[in-house]
Amino acid sequence: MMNHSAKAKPNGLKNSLREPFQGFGLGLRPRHYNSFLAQPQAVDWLEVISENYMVQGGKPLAMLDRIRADYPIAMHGVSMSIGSVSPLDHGYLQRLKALADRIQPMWVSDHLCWTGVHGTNLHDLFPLPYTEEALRHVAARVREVQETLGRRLVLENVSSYIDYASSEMSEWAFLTALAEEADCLLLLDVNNIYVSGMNHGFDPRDFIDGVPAHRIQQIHVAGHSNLGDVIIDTHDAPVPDEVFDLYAYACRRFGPVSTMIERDDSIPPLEDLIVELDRVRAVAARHTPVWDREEAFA
Amino acid sequence: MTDYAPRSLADLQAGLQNYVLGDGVSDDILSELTGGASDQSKRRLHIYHSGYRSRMNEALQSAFEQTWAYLGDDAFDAICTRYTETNPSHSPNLGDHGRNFPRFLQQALSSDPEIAELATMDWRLHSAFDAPNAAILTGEQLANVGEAQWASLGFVFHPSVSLAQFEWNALEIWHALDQKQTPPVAEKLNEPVGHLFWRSDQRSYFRTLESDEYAALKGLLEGLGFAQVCEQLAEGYPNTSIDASIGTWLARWLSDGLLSEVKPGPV
Repeated sequence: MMNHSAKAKPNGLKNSLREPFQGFGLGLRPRHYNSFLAQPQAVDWLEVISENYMVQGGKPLAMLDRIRADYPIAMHGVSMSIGSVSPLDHGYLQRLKALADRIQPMWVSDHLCWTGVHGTNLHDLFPLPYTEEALRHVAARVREVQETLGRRLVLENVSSYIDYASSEMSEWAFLTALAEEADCLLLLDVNNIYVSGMNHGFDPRDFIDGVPAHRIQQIHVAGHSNLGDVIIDTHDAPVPDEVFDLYAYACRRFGPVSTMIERDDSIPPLEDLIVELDRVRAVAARHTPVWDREEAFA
Repeated sequence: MTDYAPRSLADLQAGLQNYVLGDGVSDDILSELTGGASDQSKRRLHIYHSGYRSRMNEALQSAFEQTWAYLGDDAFDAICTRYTETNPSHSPNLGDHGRNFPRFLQQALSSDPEIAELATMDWRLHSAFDAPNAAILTGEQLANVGEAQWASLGFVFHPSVSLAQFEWNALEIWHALDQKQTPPVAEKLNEPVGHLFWRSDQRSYFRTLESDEYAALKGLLEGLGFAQVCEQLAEGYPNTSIDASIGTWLARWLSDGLLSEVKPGPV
């Protein structure tokens, strides 16, 4: 494996907007509550699905409050529908803000997608056409959300199985233009880049080369299901080698970025995920350029 | 495609949503995709169509575990799909999707009424789980209530508390399924039985109620004053000593954490 080792920090990172590097995390899932409460775990931070805790009481919030006392938390939403043509749901945004006020997360993320129109939530992450029209529409909404939340929003690239004839630019050109236009940050899901790259026939490395390094706040790695003629983003299996390879490429390009494994289905015992997380750490330690390695992995 | 004219973002999203919610005939929306009307395009578009149904069904499986076990995979899947067709989600939280499912089952499976009752049990336990937090009234607080106040006071219940009345042996069926045993045959009860659902220490609970305790809780939950409820019970159950029962019930309601605060009556 090539070990890229630029001596000087690339220009793109000199005015970084990222929050400081937080190390390596996992998504918090109910089946692991007790493990996190029983003893300290070799996990630097946790990401929670915001909507699961946007409730008014009971066990989910009680667990979150207790676990938050020991771990930094990132909030990750699935229902903001930032790309929808329907009006933003201000009630939702207020509840999201209330949760953020309660748990003081490191950052708040959601997806660059739309999840439904006319009041319906399809609970899926539909891609946008990468057009100037969509760009203007989403950028204005991101600014409105950031105003409400009082912080920069972090947006994740989604996996997709279709692309639109109307697209005028690549997904990464769209993400880059959006991040600059709305002054938001990005969550790169390396698995999603791989899945979409294979499904739509682009080189995933072009995606990674094309996004602004100084706005990459977080990285997701995950597993998928390869059905032969299409890859589905199932998050139900260990991170495969091809995603680790792409993650290594991202480490070389971006330097240290807070990274986590996103596992949503067939969730194994916590110990298994921690072993997998150690592999993520090892790949990052090996491939992060010299210019940032000391401060990140000291 | 030479004759392709892009739709507005609004039309594109409405078109794709209609496709996902509809019967899966994709002709209209295919012209929006780079692959056009190719088989590959159709297959890939269909991932969103089938993914929607399986995601919504999984949400119902997790909220209605015993109803699912009772009906079996195929029948449960089929009824979930019918439910989702007429009840698309409007909530940011997928966990809310089953809110109208028990009522839907009451009509859709009206010849097997125990199924809707089973689903009601599942849903009440599911919703007690993350109902709002609230204060729990203590025995000491209740003891400090002045004699004069009892004539007009009522109670604010913990938000997780709810009642349901079942005409069938849904409870027995639920218990058997919960123990992974073969459920008994559905039978209509001699008279409807009240059930109480609540949360305590982050766990959901239920128990059956005698008809007088059910009537007392129902009256109080509907906002009647304590004295009014006692009066009604004395009339409705002339052969029982309501004074003795109500003391026992109150002690149990307090220790189970059903009561949140004393609601002063009109001055």
